[in-house]
Amino acid sequence: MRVDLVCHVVDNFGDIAVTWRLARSLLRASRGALQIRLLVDDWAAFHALEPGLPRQGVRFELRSKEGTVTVLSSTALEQLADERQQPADVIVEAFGAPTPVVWLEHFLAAAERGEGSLRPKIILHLEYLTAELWSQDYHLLPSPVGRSGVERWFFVPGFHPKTGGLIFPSAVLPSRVRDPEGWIMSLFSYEHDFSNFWDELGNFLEERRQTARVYVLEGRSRSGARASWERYCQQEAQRAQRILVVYQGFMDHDAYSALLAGGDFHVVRGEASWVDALLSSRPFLWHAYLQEGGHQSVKVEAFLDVWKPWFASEGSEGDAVFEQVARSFRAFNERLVNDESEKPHERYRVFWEHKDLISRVLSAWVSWLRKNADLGGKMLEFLDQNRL
Amino acid sequence: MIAASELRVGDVFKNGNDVLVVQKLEGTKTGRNMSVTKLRVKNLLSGTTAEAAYRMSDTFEDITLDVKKMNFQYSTGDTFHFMDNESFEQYEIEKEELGDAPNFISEGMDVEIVFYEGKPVTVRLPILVDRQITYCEPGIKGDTSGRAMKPATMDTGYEMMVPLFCEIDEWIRVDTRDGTYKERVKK
Repeated sequence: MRVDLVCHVVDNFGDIAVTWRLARSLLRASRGALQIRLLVDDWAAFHALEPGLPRQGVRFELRSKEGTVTVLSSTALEQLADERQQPADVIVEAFGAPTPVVWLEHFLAAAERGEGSLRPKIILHLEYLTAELWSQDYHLLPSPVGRSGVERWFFVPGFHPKTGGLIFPSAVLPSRVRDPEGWIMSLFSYEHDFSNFWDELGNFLEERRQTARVYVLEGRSRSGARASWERYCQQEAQRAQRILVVYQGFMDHDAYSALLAGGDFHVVRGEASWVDALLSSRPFLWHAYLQEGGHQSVKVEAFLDVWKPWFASEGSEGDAVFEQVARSFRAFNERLVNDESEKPHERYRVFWEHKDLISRVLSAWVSWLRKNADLGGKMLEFLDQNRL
Repeated sequence: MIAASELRVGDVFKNGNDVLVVQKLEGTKTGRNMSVTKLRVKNLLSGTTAEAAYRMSDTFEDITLDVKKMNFQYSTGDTFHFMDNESFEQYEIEKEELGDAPNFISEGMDVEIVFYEGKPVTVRLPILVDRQITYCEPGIKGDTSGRAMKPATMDTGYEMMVPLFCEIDEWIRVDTRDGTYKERVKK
């Protein structure tokens, strides 16, 4: 079976990171039986994420542990005459990225000329990950596009059993490397002021006579993290000595996964790093993508709703910790714009004081997700049911 | 062409070879400020009803049908009776053809009836209609935020969520696209 994955890079690396992960997940689920092409409109973004890809190109066979994927530049499809003669059976439009007209029209026109095999049989509209209940209602709903012979379906990732599940990264996470020197944390969010973070962390470490190394990742949160850190150093010079800040350059996916798995607490954002943090089973705080009217709070609330029952196994202490975690998530995400203004109500301490409890809760949940919510396997099952 | 984002209950559009009427729709915000919509549509050629999901940016062939302004007279069981405001001709439409419209219309109300091949197939409602609350728990004074909600029954029998401050006999404005509360109105 041939599968084309279509990726439109909107901003940064999340879109291509998730699409590349999907390609590998499908290869893993099919034991390498699928022939996968990945059409991306920002070759440079993909190269930054996956150094195995040349800096520039139109077509490249990219190898991974799971198998080989043919990467095509969707901005240069006219140069890919051979590829256009081999239509996919399935097109997956990641996050609604429309199939390039020249690509699809070529196949449809061929079909109309009676060359029936030269067209895709199914288009899957892959949605963004959400914990909201609508993910169950929309998953696998038909979405007919009015062109004869091509079916389109919604495929909605999610945490509920009746959704498409999660795209799991490569099979085995890197081993957890502990730093005997102290705590390891990372900050990777949208624009944000981290004054409370430094303040609480300094106090926490002072009380325990411990130290921490905080990786401030490249990207939109660095400016706010750096400014608030410099203010903290001026105000609390002595306590600041317990914290080593590392301004980390761009990390590829495997290196970032290793940091998450080996760390103690992480601030993550969007979709790709959110899933990475969850699967690492380390305490984390998620900065959801800003939505009009502060609608991201609805998505945060839905995530808390699906997470909450997993705290029950920890008894009343689990319930109490969850309430604090939930308050932190809400405060961190309550915003109408992305900026670096002060956020006086944020609290972080619960993630450090109850690190082991939160990690246990996450481990149990992740085990369940791995058994019941593998998106690659679910997508393959759906395609098999459609006799593809 | 008509975009999925422009569709409302009662609209008729062409998708491929199918002529479809929207019986119900709901919109949902997904990631990155994108939206999708779930429709319940009736195929006017086959008579079948189905659910489908679309991106708001999806477009369909818009078809022009006869639309007449009519007055809703009364309902008998599952049949709704309308009268042409100009010719005084009477028309009947089965409840199942009307989607969610019965939740929002009351006797004496003017609506638009859509005809396909000479037969009334659906009713097109205004986006906002005013309805009276016939039952709800007593209102809580002082709460004007509108965030906390409680169930209430409308004069059409429709049950929906309204803010805590609402009272029995009050009139409210309802969005017919998703059946949600918009505001209180004075009558």
